[in-house]
Amino acid sequence: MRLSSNEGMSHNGTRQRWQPILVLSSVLTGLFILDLLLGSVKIPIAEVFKTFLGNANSNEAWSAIILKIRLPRAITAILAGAALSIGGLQMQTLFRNPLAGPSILGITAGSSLGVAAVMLVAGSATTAYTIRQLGLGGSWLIIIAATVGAALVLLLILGLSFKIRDNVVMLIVGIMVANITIAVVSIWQYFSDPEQMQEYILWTFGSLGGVTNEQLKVLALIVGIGIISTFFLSKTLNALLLGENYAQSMGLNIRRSRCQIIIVTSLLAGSITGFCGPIGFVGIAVPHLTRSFLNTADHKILIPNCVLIGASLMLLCDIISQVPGSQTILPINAITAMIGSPIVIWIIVKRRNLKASF
Amino acid sequence: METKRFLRKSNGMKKIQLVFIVLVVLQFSCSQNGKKDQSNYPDFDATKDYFPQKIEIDHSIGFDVVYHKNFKELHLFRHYNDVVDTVSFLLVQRGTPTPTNEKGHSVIQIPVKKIVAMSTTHLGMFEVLESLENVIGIEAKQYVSSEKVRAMVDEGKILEMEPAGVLNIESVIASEAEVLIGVGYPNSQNDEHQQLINAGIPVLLNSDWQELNLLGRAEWVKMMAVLINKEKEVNRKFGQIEAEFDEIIKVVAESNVDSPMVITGIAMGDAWHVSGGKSFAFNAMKLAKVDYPWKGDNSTGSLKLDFETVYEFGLKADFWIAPGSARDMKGIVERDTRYQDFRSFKTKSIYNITGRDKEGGGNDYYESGIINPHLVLKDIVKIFHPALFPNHQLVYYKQLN
Repeated sequence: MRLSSNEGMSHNGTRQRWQPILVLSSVLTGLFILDLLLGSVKIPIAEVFKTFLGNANSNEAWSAIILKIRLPRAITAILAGAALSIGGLQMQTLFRNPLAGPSILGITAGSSLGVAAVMLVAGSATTAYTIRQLGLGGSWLIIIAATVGAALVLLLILGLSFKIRDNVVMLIVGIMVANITIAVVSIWQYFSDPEQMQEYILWTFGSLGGVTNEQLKVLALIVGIGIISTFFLSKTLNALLLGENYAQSMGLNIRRSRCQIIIVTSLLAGSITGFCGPIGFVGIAVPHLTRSFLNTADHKILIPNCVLIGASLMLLCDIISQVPGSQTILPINAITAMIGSPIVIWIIVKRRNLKASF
Repeated sequence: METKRFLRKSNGMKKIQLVFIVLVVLQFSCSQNGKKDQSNYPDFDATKDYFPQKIEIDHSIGFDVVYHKNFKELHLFRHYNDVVDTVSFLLVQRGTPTPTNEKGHSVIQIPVKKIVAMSTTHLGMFEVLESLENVIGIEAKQYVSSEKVRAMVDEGKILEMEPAGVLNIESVIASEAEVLIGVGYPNSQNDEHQQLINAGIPVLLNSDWQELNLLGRAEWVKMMAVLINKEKEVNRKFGQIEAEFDEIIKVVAESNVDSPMVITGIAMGDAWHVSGGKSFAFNAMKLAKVDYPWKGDNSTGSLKLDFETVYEFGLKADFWIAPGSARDMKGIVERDTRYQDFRSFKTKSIYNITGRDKEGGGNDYYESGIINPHLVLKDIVKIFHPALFPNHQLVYYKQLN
């Protein structure tokens, strides 16, 4: 049992526990500053620091670019990376399956369904006008649609979770629900105008830059609640890792824990998908990366490190997607997949037996 | 008086002579061509120029017409990539023999009487040619702005071929259409078109969107005219349009207005597509003397830029044209609150092509606007330099409020 040996290790002192957190925090800070410095518009490093020290810039546009574009974007990257990573970690533990991620329960698919409903169906005819009359519009409409879509799928899964005891069956049901939503979206796409389809496809590419300062406050609040709740769940997660029967014998209410984990994950993944679009691979790759980096399965250690590694990886992806020095940009989803997939492969090759972690 | 009568007489004489010569030649050519042609086309005259009125193409890069005695060669060029792809058709005058067709081009009998026109851009052209009665099918009434066409759909004279977003091949075939004019996109060589071609309905892919200037796009009306032998009418109508267009350019050239800075498009996701420096949109604005951050760029389509790159210019640009689907200032803020920082936002100098756009329906800019390049240009000049045309009211463009 890997877990028990690790628990033994924690007696060796807090130093071993805090060392990786300190290292990762400085990496995160470094990447954060780098993300603020690099961009399409060339801004001298001194000017960037001037902005944060409250001094006037020699070019007014620069401070606006840094404070209104680069800063919210970097913070969004941190929130998205952290939220998706611990969402993935919880799913992998809950289902005791190395392939699980936030998208596996159909949460991402549910969000896509909501967004597709707004963009493809409502956008096609006079209903778009009706929706606008309600006072909803633009980016908030998309965010609400994605969240409602995710919530509906979540309710369905939760309802099923009371009927189905077996986690593997739950996993399969989740994948099937995702497939159904994808099918509905593709039927809509088939009957939609190319322009609407283009808008939808653009959304599926993912975007960190579309979150403005006002929206960021809402996103930060939701993700903050999600991360704190995950910390409180770490004991439950550790117990689940030992097997459901064992956890039950420890006095854990399996059904309630499962419910809590699903709600927290949905909150994390649903909000990020709503604000940034479906961002893949971070949720699967980061938990594996963290486990192999720290060589532990203790969630008390895994959760904070997962947050740091996820946020750092997302910042790195954001820096790459902006292709520093050029005026163009690459879709964030492509970058996370290109970086995430080799990481997963590397870990599988290195550790040979992923099942040992579960 | 005396001389006049003499002249008239000699004219009559000439006519008789001409008819005589024609008859002789006809007899000669008939014996040359064999009996088959004679029996099938008793009225065919091989020496006659069946198309005395011809068109010339001055602006368009997308098509060309070569005239022969009783048929026209129509070449459609598709400049999708670096390679130019050509599709050719033989337009043969009704009641005359089809020429030898070694290359196997599609043959269309002209004047075409039954046309299915799949884009609203075609409808404006047929309306100008006063040939809407030749149109028997359109995509869907929903997107049509022309009252005439809408009425014709209601009366059942024009059928909707794509009411549910998918081309109904069976209705096209059942309508006995002689030709379908589609829209040529890079991958529009689709199965449905192939099925129609197999069923004997030639598909003409109109790629007017690839034209790089206003007159080039409008000149596609000549391709429509070629199909229905309305060369004379189209030369007159297009000539008028050209004259009005040139008049506006002259007014701008003679004025000494300054060049305000303009940006285009709106961010979609993280990327902001602005009009390229050689694009249709900028070529049109260039005529109205503007300053554009990407005027030195060489792309004919759009330029994909990072949000902050455009934002930097947006802060100081005087005008903002065509911000995507935004219809009012509220719609702009809903998309992203950062747009409020733009100078054009503060001065309410944002314009979109929604002047004649019906929400949930079609935009007349893509219908009659195509064939009214002079009005579109006048709109653009009015936006940037209102003093030059104080009495002009914006038609296709609209100021966001």
